[in-house]
Amino acid sequence: MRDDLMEILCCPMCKGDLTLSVTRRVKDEIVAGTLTCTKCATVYPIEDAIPNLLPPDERD
Amino acid sequence: MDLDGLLDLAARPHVYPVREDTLLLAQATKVWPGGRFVEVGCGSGLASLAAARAGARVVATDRNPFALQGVREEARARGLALDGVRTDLLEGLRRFDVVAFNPPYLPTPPEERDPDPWVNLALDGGTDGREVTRRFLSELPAHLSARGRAYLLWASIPSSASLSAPEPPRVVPGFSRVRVVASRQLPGERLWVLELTGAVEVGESGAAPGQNRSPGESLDVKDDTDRPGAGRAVRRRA
Repeated sequence: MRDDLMEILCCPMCKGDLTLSVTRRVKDEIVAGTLTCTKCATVYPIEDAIPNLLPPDERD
Repeated sequence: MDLDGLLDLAARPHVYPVREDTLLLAQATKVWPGGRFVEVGCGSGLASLAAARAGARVVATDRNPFALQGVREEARARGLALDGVRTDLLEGLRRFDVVAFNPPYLPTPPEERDPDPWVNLALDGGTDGREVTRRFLSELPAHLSARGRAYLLWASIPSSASLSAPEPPRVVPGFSRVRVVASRQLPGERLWVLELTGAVEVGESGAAPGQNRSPGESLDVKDDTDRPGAGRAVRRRA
């Protein structure tokens, strides 16, 4: 994902804003990291540049 | 949108391939440079790739990780920029100028589900074929910008229950205007693309728009063809 995707994303559970934490970046793309909800604290992984916003029990 | 040069997408395991419904939706969808576009349930991602090439800010969503990986690879191979998001319909996304969706629309009782869960996801419209479409329409107004528009693939649904001609709805609760912008007759199945504009939201109560109104419930269109099951042949994977 690119940085400006943050403007479009919110927490799917509570609609809260998300905080981005980057663990790997390749050029302008965030390849690995997490998105954490500032309201309900749910953490969503970013893997292979794709944020996974499915509920924790439906991620596999 | 212009699809020239995009129709050689590689067939991918576990991903619904480019079919007539895919093509009709992607052709009928209009985007503009810089406009925010999302393709819901992107599958092969044809519309997403075409929109990226047209200069839109593109998000492709799917629950299926194979689909998202495929779209990403196709975009990269073509030098196009887009973002995949793994989610259910529009969950976790804010507002867009243009939304496109080719929903799963086959009436599917539980015992008839495709053994490949990812393929089933692209086909299974619930027992009446409209379950995912109803859910999408109830959530849609909250995801459109002020002048946003949505393009929705609507298919006649094979059923032995009636011989009446299937037509898409002329009115969809939550939208002031519904227009057929493309249609195609296939053997035993008819496809339409609906353009929905003038979204009206219930309010800022925090509830999803439509939850109080159940807009989908009023979509009691008679969706039948005189050749039961024929449409399924079009939609099913070969």
